[in-house]
Amino acid sequence: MLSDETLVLRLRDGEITAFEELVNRYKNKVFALVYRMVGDYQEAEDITQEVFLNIYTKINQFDSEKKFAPWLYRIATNTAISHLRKNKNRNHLNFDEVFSGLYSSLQASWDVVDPLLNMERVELKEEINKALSKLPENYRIIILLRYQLELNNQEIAQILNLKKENVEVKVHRARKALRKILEEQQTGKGVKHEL
Amino acid sequence: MNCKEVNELLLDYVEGNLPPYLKNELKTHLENCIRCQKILALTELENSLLKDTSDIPELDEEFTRQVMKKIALLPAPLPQRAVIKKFISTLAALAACLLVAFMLHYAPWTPDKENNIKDVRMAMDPKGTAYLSKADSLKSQEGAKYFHEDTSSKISAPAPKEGEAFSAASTGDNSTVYSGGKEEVKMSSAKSGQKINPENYSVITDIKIAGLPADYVLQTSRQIDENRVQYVYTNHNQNTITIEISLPYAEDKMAAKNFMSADTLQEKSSQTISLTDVKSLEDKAYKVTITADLPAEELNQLLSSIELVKN
Repeated sequence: MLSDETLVLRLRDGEITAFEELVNRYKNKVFALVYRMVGDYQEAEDITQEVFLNIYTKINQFDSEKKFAPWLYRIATNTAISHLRKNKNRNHLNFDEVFSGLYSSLQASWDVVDPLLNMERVELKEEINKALSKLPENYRIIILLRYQLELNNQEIAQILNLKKENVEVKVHRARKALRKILEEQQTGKGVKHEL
Repeated sequence: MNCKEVNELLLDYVEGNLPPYLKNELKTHLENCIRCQKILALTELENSLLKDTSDIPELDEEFTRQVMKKIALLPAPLPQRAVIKKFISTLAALAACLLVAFMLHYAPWTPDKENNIKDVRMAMDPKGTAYLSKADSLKSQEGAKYFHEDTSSKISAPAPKEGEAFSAASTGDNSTVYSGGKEEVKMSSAKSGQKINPENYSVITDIKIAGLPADYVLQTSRQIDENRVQYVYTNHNQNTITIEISLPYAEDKMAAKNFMSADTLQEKSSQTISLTDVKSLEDKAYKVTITADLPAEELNQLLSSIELVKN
């Protein structure tokens, strides 16, 4: 199988089928990322299409000595986030603002751990998706890049324009914030269990 | 290690990021603490569920088709910034050299000494990255170097002497800059997806195809090498019609015509065929080859409807 980077070179040579191959390789990963960001199937599909059109028009800006995937995900991330900001004034907050607000109460609430653990996998999955959608977009994207796309710190740093050393810290903070929301969802249901 | 400390390290533990000594301490704590065991279990579950995309539907073939259809209508990709960045130091050095040269020998720079060079075309290089933008900043001075600078590219070239052709080299990318005539170098940029006006075919500005099927649109037009230009049309099913125009096949149109006395019908594959004809424009003969996945009769009609359009 040809590498992504070889396909890019072929596309630059005018071989349009190379682009088709890139679309087929990445459409579902990009779609999954965008879908979790925006939460709406149709909107996600439209944005995914826009991502690939952006990729095409910017293909000459891609540095062919680098890896293609992080560059593509950077465009996908930026396109999705700019849509979020354009359409709604959603809960975009600076990493550290969010962190200072949530950190103080990040101690695990023991009384929701059991209910969460006792849920069916599908049910917990739904709870996590719900919590993800409530997460500030900067936290959400870092979780998606790390876990859904399984990218390493170097790649995430490149995509989000962060220092590599800061990525791990931000992943931790995002996970804590996610856990916090997960817990709030449970206490909001009025479920209380004493250990 | 207390529960709070353990809690802080659980994610790193699950992801295997802990140094052995911490890992061991944490393990020891976990063996005796049911609460932390549960938090560990929850963290592991969260990890696995965050990776799980089984609830997200996949995009079908139609999605790809739509994207391909849309890009066929898009203008060509913009210049290659990444490559330009690499040349910034080269450009800076070049700019400095030129400045010094001008100051020493040709100063002051006087725009009124610009000759009638309007633009410079950078033909498509083998990697397909050539481009050049606006022509209006091209300045020159007799005997000096031409220096075209804009946001996306820089070229420099010695001024042509009387009777000599203009030739230049680009520092903006790795393309070749083709030369033009001594009087007026009238060229245009050539990039993928954009119509070109190749200097080698200076009388041809476009081709007209009377019988082009309705849903075919021009996708790329490029110069393959100094002897050939190529126009590629595609429809929404990604079927293509390729038209290649070669340099005057022979000086004498008749000679060319005799050689090509019968249209060559070539079997390229089971479905794709090529037909060649010689067409004239301004007393010059051009070899025109059309390749498509169409019935020979239809292709022949298309070929005969192709008209080279003069400048």
